[in-house]
Amino acid sequence: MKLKITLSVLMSSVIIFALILAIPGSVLVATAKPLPPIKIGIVQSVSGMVSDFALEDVEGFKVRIDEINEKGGVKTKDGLRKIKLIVRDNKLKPDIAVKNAKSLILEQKCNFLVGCISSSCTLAVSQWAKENKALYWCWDARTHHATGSRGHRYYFRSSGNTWMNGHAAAYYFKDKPYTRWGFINPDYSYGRSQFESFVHGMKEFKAGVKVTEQWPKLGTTDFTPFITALMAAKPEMIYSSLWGTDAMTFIKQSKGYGLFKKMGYVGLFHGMPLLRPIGQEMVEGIYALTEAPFVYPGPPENRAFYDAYKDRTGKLPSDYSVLGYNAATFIVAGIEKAGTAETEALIDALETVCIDTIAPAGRICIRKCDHQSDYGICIGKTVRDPKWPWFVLKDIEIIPGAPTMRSCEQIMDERAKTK
Amino acid sequence: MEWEDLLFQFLSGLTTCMIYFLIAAGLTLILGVLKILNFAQGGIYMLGAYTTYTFMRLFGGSNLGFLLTLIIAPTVVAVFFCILEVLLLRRFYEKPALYVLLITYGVLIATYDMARMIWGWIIKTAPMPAMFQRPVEIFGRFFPLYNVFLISMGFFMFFLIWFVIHKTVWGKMMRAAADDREMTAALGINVPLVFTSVFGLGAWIAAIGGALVAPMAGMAADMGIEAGIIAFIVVVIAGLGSLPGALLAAFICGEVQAFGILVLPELAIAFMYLVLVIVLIVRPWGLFGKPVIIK
Amino acid sequence: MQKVEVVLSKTNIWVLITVAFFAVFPIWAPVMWKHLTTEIFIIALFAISLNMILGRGGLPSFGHACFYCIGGYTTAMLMIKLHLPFTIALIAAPIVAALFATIIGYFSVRLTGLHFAILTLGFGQLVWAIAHKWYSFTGGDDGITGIPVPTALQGITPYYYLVFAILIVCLILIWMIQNSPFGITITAIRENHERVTFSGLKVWHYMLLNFVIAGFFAGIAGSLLVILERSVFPDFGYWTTSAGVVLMAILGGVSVFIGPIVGAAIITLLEHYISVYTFYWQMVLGCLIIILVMFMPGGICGFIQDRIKGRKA
Repeated sequence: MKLKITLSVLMSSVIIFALILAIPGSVLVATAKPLPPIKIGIVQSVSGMVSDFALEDVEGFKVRIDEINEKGGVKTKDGLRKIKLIVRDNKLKPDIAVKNAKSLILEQKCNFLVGCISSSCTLAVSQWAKENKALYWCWDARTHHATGSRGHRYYFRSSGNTWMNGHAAAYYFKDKPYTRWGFINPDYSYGRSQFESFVHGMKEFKAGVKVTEQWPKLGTTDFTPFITALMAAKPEMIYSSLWGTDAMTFIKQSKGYGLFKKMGYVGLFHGMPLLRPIGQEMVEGIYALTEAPFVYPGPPENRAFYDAYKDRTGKLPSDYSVLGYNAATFIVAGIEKAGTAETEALIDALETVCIDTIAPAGRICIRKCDHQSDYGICIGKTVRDPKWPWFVLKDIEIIPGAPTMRSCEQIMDERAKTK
Repeated sequence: MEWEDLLFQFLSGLTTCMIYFLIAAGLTLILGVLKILNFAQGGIYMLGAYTTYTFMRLFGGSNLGFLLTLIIAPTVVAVFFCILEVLLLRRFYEKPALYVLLITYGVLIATYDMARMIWGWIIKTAPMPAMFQRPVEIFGRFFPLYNVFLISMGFFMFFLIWFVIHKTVWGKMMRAAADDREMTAALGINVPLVFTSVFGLGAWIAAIGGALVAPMAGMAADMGIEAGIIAFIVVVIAGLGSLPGALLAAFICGEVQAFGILVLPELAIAFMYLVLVIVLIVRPWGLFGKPVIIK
Repeated sequence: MQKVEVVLSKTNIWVLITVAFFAVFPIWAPVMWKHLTTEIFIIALFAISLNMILGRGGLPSFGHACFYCIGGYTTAMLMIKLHLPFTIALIAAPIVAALFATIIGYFSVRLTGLHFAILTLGFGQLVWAIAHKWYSFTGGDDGITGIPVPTALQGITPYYYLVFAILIVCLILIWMIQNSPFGITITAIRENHERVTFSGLKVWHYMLLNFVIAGFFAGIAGSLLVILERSVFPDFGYWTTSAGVVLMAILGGVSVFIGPIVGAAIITLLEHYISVYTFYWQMVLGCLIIILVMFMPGGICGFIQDRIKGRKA
């Protein structure tokens, strides 16, 4: 039948169509320069719920790379090589993240991968990277399993992880007079992970007991039943890993119930990414944990960093931008130490590399056994500041990362068990 | 657990109920009269919230500004979608339902990017108007005054729409067109215009929902996707085209969740789907729907 | 079953040429294209299975992705938790998917049009919610990763051939089913179900069987994807996946057998390449959908078919 003619004609057209689309993609390889650029593939959630933070990660990374490229590139043993970034959108779906990884490494011939803000994406890409022996650097996704039971040679992480975060918080509160804790976390793997980590730390440091736990789903617009349920259990402190619009909505709605007058609140990663958009609607006196709190001017190195960033992008960096910036700094340091961007040599160099980031964290290093950085986390209280249209943190204390990490033996044990 | 806790849980559930109702009411109206499932309903809600954000910033977040915004912003959104309806949907009412479903799906995902292109990527919130910044005291505890406002607006909208449908000439035309398009057209009524107006009304209700939510929540472009699913579930439970059903279904969903999380907080995400499943098995055409089994 | 006559007609030669083209494709194609094409084969099977309900049956199913998802999870769980080999998982997956299709279909197929769409959408979301929430069993939103690949299928090329072979077999089976007395009855039901009822047949039995068979083949597709991606996630069953595959069928043309294949190929390639060039791929996709439905409701194949018929007439 004529259907079959159209079948074949169409099949051929589709293939030709695909060819036409593919050719511009392959032309992206720069061949005119004498030394080819190092290509870094970025897998990030450009669309999807968390895109504003994800893009801040990318922006911070890009700022550092731009700084390097302006000086001529990164120093390898063959000379200076510029760095080229190729970004792919994983649409916040782990299966697409894996497709991105394939496209970046196999099609675009990137030297290695960076990225992911969501825990499920990082685990998925990590799995692929392990099987295909591609270096993958994670700058923000936090599930501790990624460097723990599911970690491997080809995976590095420059941010802290959920285990560290929860234990740091529990450690901070162990001597404080709060014993009754209520929990509110988004019901997905990140929220569960943060919850389990803090509860474990709470038991370990005898910081208190759990009186209630609430599990709203990601993207809840109406927290009111959760708020009243939390309040009904009468905790003294609430521990929350809500982020983004969830955190914003929860805080706004809780104010009306007088929640913050009756109990304290500890918010994980309630730094600039929340404080800036929520502006004057924020509440004073709540605890916020973040790795890179906004302190301006602060020490001279901090001020220099913030000013330079603002000059380049027109706005001040958020905490996630700092994470992206740190990731780039680590990688560049690793390439310079190894003298090459070859995967195996680079991995060996990165295993023992340290960098300096803004205070109070200061110097952060990668731990060799699990490729996890020892980035400490800061905790402070929110306060209004007339200099800024957003609240800032005061009484900031840093809890160093190294004591909150699990020991190398524990990690190797877990990895062995998972096999 | 004191009885005041239960009362407050009930009131919180009522707040949730009204938000669900406002998103779902427009959808069920459009379903009942136009017989189409408007996938874009969630996107309309989202745009209502974002437009409110813009207008409130324009008016400086004052009380008067808020009232003005509540009138203007949803109207702007509703008009926009009326235009879309005329351009895109009109010619498909006689065709199989599938085409309209796909067009509204295309509109939904396009609105997502439209919001990001116009308003940017950063999450936003509209300022809480000054008059609502103090709480109401109920039995010695605080309850947000804004929630009281929201619940009242929910009831008000329900009665307003009910009044329009049952007590106005326009409503009569809607009901006639829903029952029998050809006959209504034969009587000289401009059915396409009625359809556009119903679509606009449905959009307006959803946009008001978004507008009312804007000062009490953070907004991101994808809030429409989640809202769309909620609207859909409420409408299925309610029965297609039934307004009282939508209110009752929203009430059931809101209160089941509110009391469910007191008892089984780990299952918070599942309660709405549980209600859905029970309805789908026992009465697939919804609580107030008309049985439509054929074969 | 009728005897399938093999005629060396012009069209069959074209079919053979296309098959031969794809048979030698891996020899010269770069790695990424092999991955993409294998994925297209799998999605094409998924889309054709949907079209059994949509095109042939005339019912808009917006929950078909749940059978795809169930097939995927069955395979993943059998291989990871019970360490069963891939062959067993590949056979079990469509059977489990068909079982679920029986249950869901039982409640759904007696309704038509909008109600059918809504019910299938509702059930599909339910399956997704369970996969998403039941962390201990399904891994929740982390999904299941690290699914072992049988040594014989290491590397993309052998897997490409396996998927291609399975696709061809499935297509032949579906073609035969749709041209059998059963398939013709389904078409008759779509066109005038009252008349079919008057002839004494229980219409909904036929529709249910059609629904279950479609779910069976979707389960195979899900199973195949799991080995390609080495992972499975709850989003396989989200309603946007169902909407996406409906879109593929319509884009290609629901009344042409190979329509969904063409649609699957185009959408998969578009999704891969649009987001390379712009962050706002959803705006592009949304506009494309609208334009497509407005101007080419018969799909690309339908459009071309009409043009060819028009020229001949």
